[in-house]
Amino acid sequence: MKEITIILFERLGLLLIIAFVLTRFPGFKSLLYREFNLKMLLVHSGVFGLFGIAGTMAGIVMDGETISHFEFVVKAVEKHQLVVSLSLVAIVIAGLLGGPIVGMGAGIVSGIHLLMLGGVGWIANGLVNPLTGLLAGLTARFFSQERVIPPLKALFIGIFPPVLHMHLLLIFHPDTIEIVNKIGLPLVLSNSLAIAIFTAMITIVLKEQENEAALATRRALTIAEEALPFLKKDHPKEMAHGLCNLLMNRLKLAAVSVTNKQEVLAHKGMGEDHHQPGQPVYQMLAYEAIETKEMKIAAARSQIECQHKSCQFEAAIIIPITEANDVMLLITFYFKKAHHIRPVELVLAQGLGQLLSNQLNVLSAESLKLHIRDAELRNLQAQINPHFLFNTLHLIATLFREDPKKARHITVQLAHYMRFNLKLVSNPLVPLEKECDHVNAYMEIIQARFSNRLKIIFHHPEMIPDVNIPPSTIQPLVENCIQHGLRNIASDGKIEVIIQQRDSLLQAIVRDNGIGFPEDILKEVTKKPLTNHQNSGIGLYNVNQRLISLLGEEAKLHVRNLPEGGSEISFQIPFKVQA
Amino acid sequence: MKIHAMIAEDEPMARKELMYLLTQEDDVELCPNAETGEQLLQLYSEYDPDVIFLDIHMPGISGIEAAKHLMDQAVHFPPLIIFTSAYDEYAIQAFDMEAVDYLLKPFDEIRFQKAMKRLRNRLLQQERKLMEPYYSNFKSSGPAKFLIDDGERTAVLSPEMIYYAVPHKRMLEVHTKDRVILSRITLQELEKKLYGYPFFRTHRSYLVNLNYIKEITPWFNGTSNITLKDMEGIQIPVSRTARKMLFKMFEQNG
Repeated sequence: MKEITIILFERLGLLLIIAFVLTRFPGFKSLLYREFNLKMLLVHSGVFGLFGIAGTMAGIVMDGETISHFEFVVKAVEKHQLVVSLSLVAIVIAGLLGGPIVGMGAGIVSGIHLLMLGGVGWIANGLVNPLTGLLAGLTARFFSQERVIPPLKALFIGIFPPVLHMHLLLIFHPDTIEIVNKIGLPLVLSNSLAIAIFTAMITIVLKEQENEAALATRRALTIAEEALPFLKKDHPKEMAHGLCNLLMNRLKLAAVSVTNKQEVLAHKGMGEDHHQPGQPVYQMLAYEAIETKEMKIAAARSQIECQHKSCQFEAAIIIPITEANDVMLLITFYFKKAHHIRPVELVLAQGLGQLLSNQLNVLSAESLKLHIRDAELRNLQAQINPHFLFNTLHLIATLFREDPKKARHITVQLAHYMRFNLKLVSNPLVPLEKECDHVNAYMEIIQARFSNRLKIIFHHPEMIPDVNIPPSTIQPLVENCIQHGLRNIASDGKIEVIIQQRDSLLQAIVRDNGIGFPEDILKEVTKKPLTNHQNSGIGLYNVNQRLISLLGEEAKLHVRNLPEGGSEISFQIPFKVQA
Repeated sequence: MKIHAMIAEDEPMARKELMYLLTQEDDVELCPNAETGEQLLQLYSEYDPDVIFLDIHMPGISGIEAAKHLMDQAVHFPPLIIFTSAYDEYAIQAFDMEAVDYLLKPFDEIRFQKAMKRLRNRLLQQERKLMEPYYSNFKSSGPAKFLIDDGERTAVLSPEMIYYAVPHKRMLEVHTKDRVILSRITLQELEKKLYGYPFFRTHRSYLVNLNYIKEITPWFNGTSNITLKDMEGIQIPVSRTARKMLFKMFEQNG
């Protein structure tokens, strides 16, 4: 009995080695994730069936109460001999992992093999396998929440199949009682232990896999985060270069390229000599990726379709990056050998593709929001203050009689002013010169109306710098002086408008000698619309919002009261905005 | 009868426009222009015009505020006002103040003529109101003694003792033949106490006993001064409207 036990353990050791190899197969994964289809059911039944047959072959043959031979069981045995199979290990595992169908399938396969071997107890041998598979499969249902049954539970479950086997032997072949006595306990011990070890093995494999996936996910997340500043770049080539450098630094790739739908934007790594920016995108796979918006894998040179003879790439992953459901970019990872693409790389590429797409979407939504807001504000600004319009018309009506020449001049100024305001709606930026003309037209009209009350002085360089600025940003500041600072000033009002260039900055300053801002309003006037002040109550807020949203925080309005009385509003624009 | 018109407008050209339009009218006489709300208040009490062409947006006191102020101060008739504005956002407020009209800039000449017509109608209505007896029947006699405070003391007065009353530094000077009572009572309160007796507001701040009027001398721009019996040295101002009413009253009685 001791002898038999040792032999059985040795043989099971061999089986476990085979099992270990089995866990290294890629298809094995699908069993762990319980994703089945008919094809996989058949394949798994077959594989575990074969595993079971191997178990049988690793078994021993008993002749009466003695072991007849130690060789592997390959041929049919004689009538009085009993095959002691180790196939149950495989069948139980098949059932536990694959469910009743796989269990029974594997059981039938190995059962038929046992039937063919014949010998004493052939009925019991043939029956026990499918039955065990079915029962193990049904048992597995109790553990459906756990992906892998814990080894201790498996040990416990593993006790029953050999017991069942012994039952069957005694039922169909009562004369085997002596043999059962001898092999019963060793079989139970060895089988259950083997099953427990096998499940432990699976647990380890699974952890390994999860660790790898987690690592890939974390890397994808980190890279996506690092890519954010590049994605924000307006210029596609800048963005592509940044992305390429980042991906080359972070991943082990032969090369990486970023293309849009038509051409290569940037390429880093090997093959820079012939994979150059500006080249058209021609691979079939790239078009498929654009069409289906799904990741594509090139596993051969022919799929990369590089015309260059010395091109060393043999494999590639093409990742589409989408924005608003349309492919904006393709990122291609190049590999020197097809087997360099491991599942981890695929998981990472897939994850990265999705993350970057998401970020691109978020960014575009953000910038869209900004643009809509800007358009709204411009629209608001474009609404001509009716008081201004009708008072000017009233002025012109009077001038027709008093001073026809001036009437003509003011009419033209009003036309300038209104034409600019109409264009305001469609242009986010205008040349500074146009803005100055606008201020001028406004000034002339205001001066003609309030010649007694105020003077406006406009200082600007003879050559107005060639800079683009958000339209109607200076005129509202002047208007604010008239509506607020000089509101109650009946004479000697003064407004100074200064435009000057300081190093790489353009400064616009508007000053008046009016009453200044009340302390409580001073801080808030640019930050929220002051609705209790009619007409231009929202003027400063509006200008400030547009400056910030188009040119950034550094372009915001500065408002202060002057020590000598009056107030000053200014802003500055960096020259680089010219582009 | 000439219509005395005053323009309140902060834009020089807009003033010119109104001046031009008004000088085209034969029956209009222009008072000096006001350029701000404050100036209007000052010039109004000085010239007492029949009508004000009032711009709403002016530095300092706005047209609406100035108009409210004038309404509150009015003694006999509130001033007639034609608002002028570039936009109609104040039309409802103007309507509430019973403005004669609300002219939108630039002025439509036909619309301007209509406003002038309305103005003349309103002035006619005022004239007609003047024809109605001011105090239908003054109480001729009666005991009618009443008390008013005189600083620490309390004075007992009968209406015929009072010559005139005028506010002075938050107090009211009540002038009798031989002394002046300084009372905390307001002019309005006194006027109420004297209701039914022949007292008359010749001016925003003067309540005068009609029985003691000695003579009325013309001052300038349609205003006058009154001299009272026993008080030859004192001249009491009479606004133009009050002067008209005064004459009507004496005509009816006599």
